[in-house]
Amino acid sequence: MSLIERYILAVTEKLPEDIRYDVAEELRSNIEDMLPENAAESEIREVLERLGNPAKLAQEYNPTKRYLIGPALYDSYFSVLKTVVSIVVAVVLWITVLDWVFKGTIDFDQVELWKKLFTDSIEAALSGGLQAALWVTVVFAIMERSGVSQNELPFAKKKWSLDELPTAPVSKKAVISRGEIIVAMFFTILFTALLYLKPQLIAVYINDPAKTEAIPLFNTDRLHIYIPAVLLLALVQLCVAVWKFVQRRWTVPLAVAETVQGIAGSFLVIVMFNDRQLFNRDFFSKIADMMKMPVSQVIHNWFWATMIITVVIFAGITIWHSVSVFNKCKK
Amino acid sequence: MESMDELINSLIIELKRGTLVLSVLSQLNNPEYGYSLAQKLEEKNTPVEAGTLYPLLRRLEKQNLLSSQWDTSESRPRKFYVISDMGKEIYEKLKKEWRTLSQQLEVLLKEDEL
Repeated sequence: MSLIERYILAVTEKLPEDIRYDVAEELRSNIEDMLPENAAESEIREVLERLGNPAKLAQEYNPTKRYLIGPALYDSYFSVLKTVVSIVVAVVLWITVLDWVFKGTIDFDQVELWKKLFTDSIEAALSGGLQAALWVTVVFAIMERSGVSQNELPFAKKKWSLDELPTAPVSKKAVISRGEIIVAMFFTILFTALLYLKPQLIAVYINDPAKTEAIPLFNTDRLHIYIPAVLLLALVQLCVAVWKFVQRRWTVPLAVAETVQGIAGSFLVIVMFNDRQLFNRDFFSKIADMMKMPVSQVIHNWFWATMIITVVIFAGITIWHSVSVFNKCKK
Repeated sequence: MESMDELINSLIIELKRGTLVLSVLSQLNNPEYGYSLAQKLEEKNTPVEAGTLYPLLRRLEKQNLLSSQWDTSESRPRKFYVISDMGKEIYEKLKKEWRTLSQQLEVLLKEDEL
């Protein structure tokens, strides 16, 4: 392939298909025009060097901004990425170790056991970290395209108006602290990872001198029904957390999102905790054993208590939190 | 100081960039192909880098300021560009804008020479 053809290919191969052929034709005739008849290689080289780096030329031909995350969101993207990835890696590592501790008693080969912990940890950290990075990137790419960086309200590409100018200086009360967001992210990730990866770790641990026994709280089969909702909720919570990270202060749209997310979360928790089939029978019989009570009595008390506790605590917290958040917007 | 030269260069390029469209539009009352236009501009002492000019023609065509046609009658096919009606209208406006701008700027620049 001649030098000229190689150059043309280098320019056009990155261009969209519909203009590729035409650009190639035009570029070829332009290059030939720039050359004398029967040009020597040195002359060809000179002309191509004048045209410069083919990648740059291709960019000139196709100047649409092709980036996933632009400069306005770049800094937030990196800090959120670092935060979320480190939380996820820490959580999955912790879960892996915990899981290993309770399974470890079955296998007696110490070397194999440590090896397994090692490989499991690396695998969990890698896959968890990659998943986290992927989702953070997806959330930010959506934000970039929906115009969050230019405007306060996602998906509303209206023109900026002076009314949106924050009342300066932003009062301390309206500022969302990074710590608060990180703690919220941590718990979201922790509970989601536990429910999704190792629900059997949510258990009653009985320390007998003979061996440690763990009786899972949940009936894993039944829990599967809730997993899609749990994951969806986690994603929504992550999105809202990222939004907070970028916005850094309470605004009405953000407060609405926070309230919706709170209601959805509480609703899910209340439904789950009042689902009798979700709980492990063995768990109740073990408690009945320990408390020397009939199983039916334990179950009755349990659901009566969780009903009240979940409704009061979760609904209460959601209402209180939403009211305080809306108050902060006005500050 | 190399960094100062670099800075000056990039500032000059920035300064020229805005005038590029104006100079190209001014020279396309008759159809020209990429190389002939480059030659013409060079003869008139306003050389434009080939790597900048060729893609620019295409962009202006996409914005409907130019129209183009392949001429295959000669030994080598060439793409000819000519200013469109919309291009002419825009060119007149840009020209006016440029004149006002350069007058204003001239006043500013003369101030410190007094």
